[in-house]
Amino acid sequence: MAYEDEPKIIHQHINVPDIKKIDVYEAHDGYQAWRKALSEMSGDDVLNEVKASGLAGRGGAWFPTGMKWSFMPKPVFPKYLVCNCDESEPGTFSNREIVIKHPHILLEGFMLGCYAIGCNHGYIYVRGEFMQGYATLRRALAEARARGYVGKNVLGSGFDLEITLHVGAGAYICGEETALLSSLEGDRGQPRLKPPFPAVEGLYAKPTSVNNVETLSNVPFIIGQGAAAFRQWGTEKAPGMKIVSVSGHVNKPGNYEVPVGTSIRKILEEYAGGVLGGKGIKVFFPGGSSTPMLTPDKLDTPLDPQSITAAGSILGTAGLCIFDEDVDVVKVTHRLLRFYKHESCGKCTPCREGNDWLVAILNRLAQGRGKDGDADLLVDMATNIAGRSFCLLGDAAATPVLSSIKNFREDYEKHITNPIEEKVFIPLTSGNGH
Amino acid sequence: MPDLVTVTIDEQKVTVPKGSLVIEAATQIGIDVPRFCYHPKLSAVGMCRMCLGEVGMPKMNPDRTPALNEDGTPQIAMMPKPQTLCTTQAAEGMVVLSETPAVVKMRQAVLEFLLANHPLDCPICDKGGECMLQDQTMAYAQGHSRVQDLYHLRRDLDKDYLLSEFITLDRERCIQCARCTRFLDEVAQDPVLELVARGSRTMIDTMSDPPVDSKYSGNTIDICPVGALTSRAFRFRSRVWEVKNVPTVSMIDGSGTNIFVSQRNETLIRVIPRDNEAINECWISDRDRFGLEYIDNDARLTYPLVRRDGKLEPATWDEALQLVTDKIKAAKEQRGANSIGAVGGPKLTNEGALSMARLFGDVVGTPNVDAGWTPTITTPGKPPATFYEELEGADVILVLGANPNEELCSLDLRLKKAAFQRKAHLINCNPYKTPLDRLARQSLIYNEGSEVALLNGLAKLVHQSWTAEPAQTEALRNNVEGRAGATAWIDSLGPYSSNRAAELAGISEPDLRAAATAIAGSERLFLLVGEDVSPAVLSTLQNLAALKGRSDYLVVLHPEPNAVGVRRAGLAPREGGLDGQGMLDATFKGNLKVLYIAANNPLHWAADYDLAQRALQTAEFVVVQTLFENELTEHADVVLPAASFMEQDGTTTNFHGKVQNLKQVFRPRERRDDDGNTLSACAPDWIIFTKLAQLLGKDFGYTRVGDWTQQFKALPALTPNEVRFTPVTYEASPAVAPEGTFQLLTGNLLYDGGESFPYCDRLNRVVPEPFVYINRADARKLGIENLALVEVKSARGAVQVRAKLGREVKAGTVWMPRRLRAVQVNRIIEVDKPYTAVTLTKLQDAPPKETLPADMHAVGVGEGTPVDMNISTAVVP
Repeated sequence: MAYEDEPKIIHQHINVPDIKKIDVYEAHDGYQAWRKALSEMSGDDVLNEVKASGLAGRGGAWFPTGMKWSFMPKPVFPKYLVCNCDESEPGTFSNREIVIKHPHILLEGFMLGCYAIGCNHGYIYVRGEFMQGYATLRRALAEARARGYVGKNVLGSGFDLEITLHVGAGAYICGEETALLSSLEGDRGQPRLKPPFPAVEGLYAKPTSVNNVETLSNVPFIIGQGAAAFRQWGTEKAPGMKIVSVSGHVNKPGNYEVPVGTSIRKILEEYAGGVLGGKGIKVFFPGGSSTPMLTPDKLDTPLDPQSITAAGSILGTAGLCIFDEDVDVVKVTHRLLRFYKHESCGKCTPCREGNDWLVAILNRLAQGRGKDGDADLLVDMATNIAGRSFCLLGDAAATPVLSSIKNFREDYEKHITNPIEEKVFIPLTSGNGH
Repeated sequence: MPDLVTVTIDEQKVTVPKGSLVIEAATQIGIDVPRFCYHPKLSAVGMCRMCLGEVGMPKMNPDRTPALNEDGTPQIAMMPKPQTLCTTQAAEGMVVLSETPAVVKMRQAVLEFLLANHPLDCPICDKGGECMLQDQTMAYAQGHSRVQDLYHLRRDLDKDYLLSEFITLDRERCIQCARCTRFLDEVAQDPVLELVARGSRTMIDTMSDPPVDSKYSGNTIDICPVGALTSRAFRFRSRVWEVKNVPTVSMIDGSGTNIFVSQRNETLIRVIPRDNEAINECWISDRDRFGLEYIDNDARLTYPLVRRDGKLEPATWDEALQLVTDKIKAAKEQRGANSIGAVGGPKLTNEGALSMARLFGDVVGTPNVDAGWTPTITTPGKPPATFYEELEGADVILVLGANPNEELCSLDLRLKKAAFQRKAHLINCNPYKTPLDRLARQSLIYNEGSEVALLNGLAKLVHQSWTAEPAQTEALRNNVEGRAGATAWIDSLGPYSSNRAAELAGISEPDLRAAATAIAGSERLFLLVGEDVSPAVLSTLQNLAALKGRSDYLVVLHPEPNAVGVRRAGLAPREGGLDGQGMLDATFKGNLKVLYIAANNPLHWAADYDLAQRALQTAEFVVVQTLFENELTEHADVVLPAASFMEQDGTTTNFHGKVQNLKQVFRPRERRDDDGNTLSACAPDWIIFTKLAQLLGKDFGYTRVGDWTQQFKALPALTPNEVRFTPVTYEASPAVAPEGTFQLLTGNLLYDGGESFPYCDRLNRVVPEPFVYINRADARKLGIENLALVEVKSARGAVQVRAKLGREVKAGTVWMPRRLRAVQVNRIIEVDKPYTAVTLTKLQDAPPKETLPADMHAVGVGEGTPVDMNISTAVVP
C-alpha cells in the first residue's frame, strides 16, 4: 500500500487544504472529541481513557502520558499543563509540521489534557526561532477562542480554560522540561534540580505536567475513537503511531506517520524512496542527533523503543537521519558537536567546558592537524562528560563522539593528517512534507 | 526531635536528621568532599559537579521487604549514574562511596575541565593561598595537563572588570559557580549580580545602577572559590599568608560583627568575616569591610594638643594631662563638681566607658555624666541570650521605627532570612518606606508621631481576640489577669477602636486588623523598636509584649556600636545630674564650665547644632578625646589622642547585650623621629582615664585592661523585665502643618559620610550627595524633578540638597538623612516643636557634585617639636 493510503492518526487530514482554518478542521470532525469530553466525560474519564490507550510521551522519553498526568496531586490548585513546543533536536521535525499545518489538532489535544488534569490555565511554550509556528498557533487560538472552545465556561460546561502562548528566546536546552519552566517563568533557561519533579513543584512551584506536541495531538483521536482504536497499531508496550522524521541522504525526506514497530528498512525503502543515488548506508541515527549511531546491519530493527534500545541506541524522537556510504563520520560529529557547544547552557562544568574542548580537538582533526591519540583523548573527554553533567545535554553531546569512534575509529586516524573535504553536504533537516 | 536517618559513607555510619544533604553528613564525620558551588548558607544547585560520588539504596523485594545478601546484610542497588552529594538528601540505609577510583577520576575530570580555561595566574592572584581551586587541584587533579597544545585557544577575557567601588572581576578566573549571585539573591536579597550569556561564554555581570548596589557585596569576595571577585582595596597588596589575621569585633555598628583584621607590618591590609553563628554567621557588611581603613591614615592624632594663645599646639602627655587635672581641680574648688560635665560616646569600649564613669562620677564627683546628646530608650528587660536563634524562630516579627538596612547590618540579614527562608510574618511599621518593606508581609506607613495610637489600636484588637477566639483566651487571660496596672490599661484602650486608631495613624483599617490578627495568633512574637522613639512608645510596646507574654522579646535597636555597654558602665546622669542635652544648655547658660567629651561630637550628634556650637564657644574649658582633628577640636582647649578599638584589648557590648572580646590588632598609632624612635602615641581611653584619676588623687590600682573588664563583669546583671501594664494615651499633635509646608522626617544612613569616612578611601566614594526624598506627587505639584537642587527651609535655617523623587515618603512629608556629610539636619530641625515643617524651593540647577569637598580631608598637624612619651600603650606606669 502506498504511504498515502495507510491509516493515520495525526496526519489523517494534515494535507487537506486550509486544515489550519477552524472551519475546515471542524468539517473534518475537528473539536468533536473536545465537545464529547465536555458533554459526556469527566476529567478522570479522559485521563483513564488516555491511560488505557497506553499513549507514551513522543518527545523522546516514551513515558506513559496517562501515568504522568495521574502523578499530579489532586487537591493542589492551581496546576498547569505546559506544551513543550521547543522542538530543536537536529534531525527531528515532526512537531513543526503539526503546528504549521494542523495547529487545531494540537490545541484540541491540549484542551483535553487540561481537562484531564483539571488545569484552568495552560501554557504552550514555542521555540524562539519558530516564529511561523507561533503566528499559526496564535491565529488558531484566536479562532478557537471565538468559537468558545477556550475561555470562561467552555461550551456551557462550567469548565474555565485559558491558554497562553509563550515564545522562548531560542535555546535548545529549553526543550528540557525544567529549563523550559525556568524560561517560562522569565528566568534563565537552565535546568533545575530534580526532585522536586514538575509534577510536584513545576511552574510557579505548582504541580505541572509538560507534554510534547505530538503526544497531545494524539489525544483527540483517543478520546474520539477510544483507546482500543488507538491500540490497534503499534506494539504492546508502545501502542499507536509515531511520526518518523526522515532526513539525510534519502530520495523523499519528510515526516511519515507509521505504526510503532514498523521496520526502519520499510520506512526507508517503501516510504522515503531509498538512499539518494542508490548508494549504500554508512551510518544512521534512529532517533535524532542525540542518539547513538547505528550501522546498516541494524536496518531491519523494528522502530519501537524496546527494539531500538536492544540494538544499542535509543528511539528518542524518531528523527531518522540517514548517511550514505561516502559520508565522513568525523565531519558529522564535528558539525553536531559545534551545535551542542553552542547550545550548552553553561550551568554545569562538564558540559560547559567539555564541549568547548571536544570541539577544539575536532577542529584540529577537521583541519588535518590532529595528534596521535586524539581519538583516545576524545573518548576520554566524552566519557568524562557523559553521565556527569547536570542534565542530558551533556550526554547528548558525548554520544556522537563515543558512538562514532566506537564504529569508525579509522576515520579519526585518517584525519590526523587529512583535512575534511568541504564538498560533502549533509542535510540534517528537510523542508516540509513529501 | 526530627526524624533521623543513618547513612553509610565510605564504610562509616553517620546519623543525621532526615533531609540533610549527604555532603553535610560527610563533613560531620570528617570526610572532605571537594566542592566549589556548594556553600552551607546558600541553596544547593549541583553546578560544579565536583562533589560527585557513587550512591546506592537498599534493594527492595517485590513484597516491599529489604532484600538481603546471604550473610544477612542488605543488598545495595547502586544508582547507574554518579550523584552530586551536595544535592542528594540522606535517606535511611543509603550507601555513599566518595573515594572509589571512579570517583577519583570524576574529580580529576572536573578539575581538568575547570583548568582548561583558567589563566593559572596564581602568582599574582589575591586568592592564592586560600583558593579552593588551588587547594583542590593539589589534592585531586592529575599531575599533568592534556590541553597544553590548545593553550592558544584559551579565552581572553576581562582581567579587571570593575563591578563597583569595592569589587573588581577577573573573568578569566571565574568558574561560574554562581555563589555570588546566589548570595545576593538569597541572603542579601539584593539581586544585583546575574549570570549572562550561555555555554562557555557564561559570565557574571551587574545590571544595577549604581553597580552592585548592595551593602553586603563584599561577602561575594570571600565566598568566591577562586580569585574572580577581588577587593579593590586589597588587590595586589599582600599575599594572604603574609598577613596576621587578628580576631576582634567590629565597632562600626551595634551588631557586634565578628571580624578578622589582617595586618602586616602594623598596616591594615584587609578585613574579613569571622564566623559566629550567634551574631553575624559568616557575613559582614561593606561598611565593616571597608570602613576601618582610617586606622592607618596620616591624619590620626598621635600626640596631645593644647591651646596656647588661641592656637592648638603639640604637647606632651604630661603637660596635657596636668593641664586637664588642674582645670578640673580648679573648677571643682571654685564652683563645685556640678560645674563639670562629661559626655562619652558609644564608640568607647566597656572598659573605656567604665573608667570614664568612675573617674567623673566617683573621683571628680559630678553627677553630670552621659553617653550622648539626645535622650534614648534602652531595652527594658534582658534580651534572650540566643537572640538570633529566637528571632529566626519567631512566627511574627514587628519592627517599629527602625531601618535595619541602614542601621544594623547583621540584624538586617537575619530579618531577611527570617522573612524569606523561615516565612516569618514580618510587620514593618515606619513613617516612611524602608528596604525591609520588600520582604515584609505587611508594611504600615504611619503618620510620624502617631505610634501610640497605632499600637494602642493593635493592642485593643489583640485583646478583643480574647473573647473572639476561645483557644487563645486562656493564654491571654494568664498574661493579663492580676498583673500590675492591667485593669487601668484595659480601660485606657477604650477610645482606640480600630477605625479611630487607623485614622489617627494614617493607615488603612483592614491593614491594622490583619496585623492584629497575626499578632493575636502568634506563638513566638518578636518586637523590635528603633532607639529614636519616645519612652511613651516603648511603654506601649511593653504593654503589647506583656499582653502576649513576650516581655523579654522586646528589643531596642541601637545602631551605634557600644550603646548598651556604655550605659551599663554608668555613663548616665547621676542623681540630680544633667543629661547631654542639659549639659549643652547649662554650658551655654554659663552654669557648666568644664566639658569633657570623649569619642563623641555634639556638632554631629546633638539635636540642635546651633546650641552645641554656642555651648562649645561659651564653655571655659573643653577637653576632647578623639582620633582626628575635626570641627569639634576647633573648640577644644585640650585634645587627647585616643586609640581606636583596633589598638586595644577590651570588651564591647552589642545591641542585644552580648559582651564580646576586642583584641588588639595594632600598636597605638605613633609618631617617630627619623631614626625610628617613638616620640609619642595615642592611648586607649581607659588608660587616659585611669591616669587622670591618678593625677586627681585616686589610684584605682588598675594597670591592665583586664582589671577594668573584671569590674565591668562585676556590674549587676540585667534582670528580666518586670511584667506590668502602663496606660499610655495618645495626644494628638496640636500643631497643624501650615499650608505649603512639609513634615520633615529624618533617619539614619549607613554611608553617612560620618567622622571616619573621609579617611576611608573606598567607602568615602559611595557616600551619596546630600539629598531629600520627596513624594512624587508633591514634587510634581512643585515642579521639582528628580535630582534637582532644592532648598529645604525651616523656621531655623535652610540647606541645599538634591531632590530624590519616589514613593519612599507619604505625600506631605519629606525625608532627610540625619547626618550626611556637610549637610547636618540638626541645623534646621526645630527641637522644641513636635515636628519640623519645611518648605521646598527649587533652585537654579547645577550639575550633581561627584567628589568630596577638599576641606573635608582634615589637614595633618605640622612637624612640631618632639615630645616625650610618658604614657605607654598597654600598662599604666
